[in-house]
Amino acid sequence: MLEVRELSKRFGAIVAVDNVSFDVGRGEVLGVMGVNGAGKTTLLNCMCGLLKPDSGHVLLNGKDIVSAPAHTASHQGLGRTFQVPRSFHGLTVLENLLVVPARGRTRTELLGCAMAALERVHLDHVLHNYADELSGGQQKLLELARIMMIEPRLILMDEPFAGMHPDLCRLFIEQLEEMVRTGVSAMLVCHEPETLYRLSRRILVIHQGKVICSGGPEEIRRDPAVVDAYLGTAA
Amino acid sequence: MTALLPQVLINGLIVGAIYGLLGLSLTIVYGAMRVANLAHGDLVVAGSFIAFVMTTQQGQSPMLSMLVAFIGVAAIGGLIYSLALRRLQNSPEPEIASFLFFYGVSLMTGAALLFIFGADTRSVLFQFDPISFRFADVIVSHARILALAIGIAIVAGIFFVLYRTIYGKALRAAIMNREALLVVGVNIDRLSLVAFAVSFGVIGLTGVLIGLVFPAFHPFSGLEFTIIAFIVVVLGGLGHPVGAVVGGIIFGLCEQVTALYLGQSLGMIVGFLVLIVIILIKPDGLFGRASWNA
Repeated sequence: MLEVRELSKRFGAIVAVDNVSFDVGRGEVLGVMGVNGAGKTTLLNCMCGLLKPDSGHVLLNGKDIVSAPAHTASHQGLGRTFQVPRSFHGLTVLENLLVVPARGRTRTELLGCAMAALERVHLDHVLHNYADELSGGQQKLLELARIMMIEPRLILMDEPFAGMHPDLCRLFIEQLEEMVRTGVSAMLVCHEPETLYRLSRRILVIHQGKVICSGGPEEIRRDPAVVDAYLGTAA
Repeated sequence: MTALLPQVLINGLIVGAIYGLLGLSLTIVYGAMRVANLAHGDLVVAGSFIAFVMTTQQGQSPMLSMLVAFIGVAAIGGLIYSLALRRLQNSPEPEIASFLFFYGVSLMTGAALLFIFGADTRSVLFQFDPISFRFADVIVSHARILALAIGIAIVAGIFFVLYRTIYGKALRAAIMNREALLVVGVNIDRLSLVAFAVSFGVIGLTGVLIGLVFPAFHPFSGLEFTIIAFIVVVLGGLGHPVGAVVGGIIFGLCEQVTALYLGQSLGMIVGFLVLIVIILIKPDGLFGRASWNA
């Protein structure tokens, strides 16, 4: 589904993403680990078009989304959530979803999609509240609902569980797993190894912009380079 | 002097509505692209000169001048966005680059108006019938009533688009967070281009209203209007459309009342004082954080 090939991004002398290549299959949750500053968020930004990489390709279902205008990545089914939720604070919860382009849907269909998405993340009872009245965790759920509106094939998630109430976290994971069951893929950046081990069969470990290890949880736990760079002690 | 107060309050309201329009277009341009348009006042004066040519010289109606000024200055805005701003946004310091760019546009506009029209002050002259209306002890010129009505209609139209249409909501969302809107597939470039051009069109139209209400203008009157626009925008709360209009009305009332009691020259000083007091009490301006949710 997704092929990332030799992707690189520099900021002056700093190489934030260094010749990174990997694939994500249909319905796969690919975990991404790395210390702060390892280049995880830059990698996601390059993949979704918010940053132009210096070199490399990102192919989603065979189409290169790096060379196209940034807003068209979502038209290919690529969604993105942010570490600090980016709700449109001055719009209502419902309006936060309705600003998504209709792309062939009628106004009624779009409204139906929005209501269904809000129900799934249990925000349908606050649909007329302004987004900045929601808690941080609810805003993350709102962001997930907004991504549902684009009917994603692949979602890039940057630290979705950081600072989230456990109940909301559980709901978020349930909805993610539900989407994955229907064939949606995800790339999940997360600092909590146990959460990643639970949700992902395959994990990339990034250090100083490079992929230093890729594999299942057991391989990751045992890899000396990962232990040295990230885990600190042999698990 | 107190007998004149109702008259002055009405004048303050009319001038304030025009200042509100000045602030509204500035705040949308700022919101759409995060650029401070230092050429704001100069383009307003360009609109006034369009009215001068069409109305005073050609004898056309002020309404036609408004249409031509709207389209002409909107076209300038569209060109500026397409040819320059897209590139400036990719520069290492986009805010500083666009700040200097608009300073250049300001000087160029003033110089171009000076070249075309000379340094003399000009007025928009049109024989309205009747010349004025009387409401009890208050006399208001036909031109001022027309300016107020057009000003209210434009503000209402802009608010309708911003708060009631999906296009306006998307624009407000872009102002709140461009990246979040981009990743859900909204073509922000096209959205910004339209917002930019329409805002510039409103700048041109405001210039015609200013030509009708103010006695005279010259090629370098623009700086004063740029300053006023920035005052009302900061007064109301940066990036807040309702704040810009309310800020404009407050500033207009302060200016006119001050002119009555303390003299014309102190008008802007008192406006600045009001700005300082409000900023001290409410640092984000009257409508606080640029929340756009009023």
